[in-house]
Amino acid sequence: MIGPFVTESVLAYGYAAALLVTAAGLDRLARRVAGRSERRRRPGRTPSHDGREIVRAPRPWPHSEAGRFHRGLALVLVVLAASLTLVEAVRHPAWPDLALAAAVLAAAAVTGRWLTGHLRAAPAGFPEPGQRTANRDR
Amino acid sequence: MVPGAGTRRELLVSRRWIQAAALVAVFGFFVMGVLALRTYTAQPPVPRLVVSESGQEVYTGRDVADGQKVFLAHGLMQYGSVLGHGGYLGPDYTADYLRRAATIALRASGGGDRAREQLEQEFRTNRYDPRSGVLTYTRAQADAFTALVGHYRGYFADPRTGKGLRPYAITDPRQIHQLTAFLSWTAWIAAAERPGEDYSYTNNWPGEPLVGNVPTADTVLWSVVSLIALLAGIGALFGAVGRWGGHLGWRGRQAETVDFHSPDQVALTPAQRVTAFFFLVVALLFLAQVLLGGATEHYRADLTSFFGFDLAGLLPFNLARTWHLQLSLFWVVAAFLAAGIFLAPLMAGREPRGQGRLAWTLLIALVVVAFGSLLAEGLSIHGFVPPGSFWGSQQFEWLDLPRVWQILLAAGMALWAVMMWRVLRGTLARDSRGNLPWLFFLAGLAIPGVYAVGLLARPGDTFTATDFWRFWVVHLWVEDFLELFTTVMVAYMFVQLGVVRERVALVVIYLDIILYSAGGVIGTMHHLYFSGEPVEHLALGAFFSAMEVVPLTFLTVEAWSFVQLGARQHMESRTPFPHRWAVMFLVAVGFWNFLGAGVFGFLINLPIVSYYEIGTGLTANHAHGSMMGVYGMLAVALGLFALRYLIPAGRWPEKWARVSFWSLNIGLAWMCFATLLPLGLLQLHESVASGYFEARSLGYITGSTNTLLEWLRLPGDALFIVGGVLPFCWIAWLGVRHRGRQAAADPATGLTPAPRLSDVREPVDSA
Repeated sequence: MIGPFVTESVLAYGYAAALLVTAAGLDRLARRVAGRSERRRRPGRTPSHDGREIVRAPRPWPHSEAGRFHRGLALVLVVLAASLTLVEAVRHPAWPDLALAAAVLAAAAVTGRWLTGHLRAAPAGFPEPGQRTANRDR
Repeated sequence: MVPGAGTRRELLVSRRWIQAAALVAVFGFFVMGVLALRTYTAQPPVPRLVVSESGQEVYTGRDVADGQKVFLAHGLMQYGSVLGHGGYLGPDYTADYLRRAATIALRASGGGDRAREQLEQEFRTNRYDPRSGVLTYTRAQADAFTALVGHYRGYFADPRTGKGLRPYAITDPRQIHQLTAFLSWTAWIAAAERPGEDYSYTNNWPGEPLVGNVPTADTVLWSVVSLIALLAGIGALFGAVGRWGGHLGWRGRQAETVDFHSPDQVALTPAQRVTAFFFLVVALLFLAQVLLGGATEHYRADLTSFFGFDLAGLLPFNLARTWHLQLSLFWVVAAFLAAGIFLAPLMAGREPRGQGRLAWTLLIALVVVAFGSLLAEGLSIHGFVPPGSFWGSQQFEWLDLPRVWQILLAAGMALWAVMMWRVLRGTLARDSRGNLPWLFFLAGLAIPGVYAVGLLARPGDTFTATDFWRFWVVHLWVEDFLELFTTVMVAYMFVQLGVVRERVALVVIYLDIILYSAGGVIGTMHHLYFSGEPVEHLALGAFFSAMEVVPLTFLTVEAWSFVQLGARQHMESRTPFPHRWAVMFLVAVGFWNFLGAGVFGFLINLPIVSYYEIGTGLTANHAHGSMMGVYGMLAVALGLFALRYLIPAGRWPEKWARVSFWSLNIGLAWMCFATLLPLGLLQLHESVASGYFEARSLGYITGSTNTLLEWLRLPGDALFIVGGVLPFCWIAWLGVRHRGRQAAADPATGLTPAPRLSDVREPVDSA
């Protein structure tokens, strides 16, 4: 026992919480990866009388899909955290362990919703042939 | 510069890269040579004769050697382990013998503090006389040996299958005596103090309080040094990336417009078309491997029954695991060889006559070696082959295939190297020896060369020496030379596609050689902390293997720029980029390289951690995360790259490639995080808290918590097999059905022109 809690429950819920933290970390990594194509815009010069500089944004792929990959794995960890929590709650269905389970499940639900939203908002971005990048005068 | 007749193309990078790579490699292998010498000069002796205090023979040195062959031939290194090396379901037999012998001796002396002190002194005192070659056991040790012969006789002759072994696994009394002699010797070296030292030949491994085995000062010290080396190395890496990052890593070519040829436009050479069959064999071996993995895993979840069927009579745990491990090597290596066959003509611009027939010869040879060796292993474990047989029995973990098959496999890889030479020799003659074609060829040559070093591990030799050579294959060959070859191959793939300049690829390759050689060559010794090698193996292994994480971190940092260059390169392409899923599998390789190899590997790397952890679940966690996560994903990536040209564009199964990608990665992640990692952490805790013997006991392993964690793996494994492997098999089948467009050979020369994979629409700056 650890305080009022069964040791196994503390370990299981603690591990589940660690999975949620790892999932959040993976999502952050995904954001960095997917955002790289924006941060790495390179100026391409087009001869013109005005000497204007044309900025060409690189295609989002494969950063976008790499970001999706990380987000997908992050969601897997959330599902796993929730599964472990449910299994442990069934194994030790006593109060106050169930309070811990409820807290972890709530965190998993919030994290899962958040990550699912990110995943939906992050298309793979694989380009179709003939698509042109957006050019922007600057 | 275009070379004229008799001249070579100039070296595309500074000579300093070659000098640095050569220096690091030479230094590494020089130290390995010294460590090899020290292994033989400082290994624990195998006594000519072991006697009791009354002079009665207990066992002989011949018994130890033969007992090692018995241990191996019956697949016991795939069931349990010795000196921490082997399978994880059965006990570590070194720790098992040591605990049982000490307990028997303590009981015989009546127990109590004084008896404990005497026991410790008896086991730790080294009574080996090097002049006569005789080791004298105390009466208690000799009596324990006799008792344990009886114990192992009952254990291995068990008619039941409740341990996962086949019934009546070993019944020959002479083999039992020899086996017990071998286990007794491993236990002796684990406790008896090395002359002139206050620790045992195995650096006091395993931890056993009855004989006073606790971690040594060196184990703790070099763990600290290792950690400092890691932190300093990563700090230096980030500093270097910050200072020189623009010059290192992948950078796209200045020409930003590349037109990729549609697969329907790419006409393949005869050998390239044969790779369709290679990849089908790869896929089927992969399928067999994962099904056997499922069977192996099931034993851990339910030891006594496979869904109501007693599997152990036909396919005991150790046979399933043997085949699972061997098949993992076969399908991955076959994929690499096939990729080399596919890529070589692209590098040379053409393929000589007869290469297609050679490719068929190699494929058939690989299939024969795979099935022949697997069959021999099965016959050996079922007791049909005499221990130590050249034809039918070897079975070191990872080097399970009998020696005749091992030689044939090395010969097959040598044939592959000859095939590469045939295609590339013209290119090699015209190019600098430091440029890509030479790096590809030399890296390829290292594959059979370093694999053949494993032949120095012979079943009757001292286990310490065999383990030294075995890890040249398991570590150096797998983790370094295959890694080097794949780096060169992937670099070449993207040079061929036109998305990166050759010079940039060369810088990345040389940097990888330097970083991997700096840590990975001497770092091989991190497998041999407790196998009877002298302490310098532990010290150097701990320090240099920490440095291995540095290139893995660099590759992760570099991987982002590798991914980025793809973003730039097809921004204006008029044709679709054909390798979406090959690239995504490479992204997965980068991820698992860092997590599976780097994080999960360093988790168990420090000597003080390995002291409690070796041979337990965290090793399996690292093994699956790295072997499948890195090499498995890479093999699939290479397969998809080639298959893209073997399958007509209109038939390319985009959906199944996507399903396979996600299923393999989700399945592997579930496997690691649902089961292997938590189970490994719990087992490590048990090892520290209760003892290594306890943590390796069947009672602990089949406890309710462990069983639950094992069953939790089922959804991920099912997804891995059904969603991951089966679609890959389907795609490989499509490759065989269609086999791409055949290029026409020149009737005069017999040469077949190699296809171009892309066109660069704007001229590129030279150098």
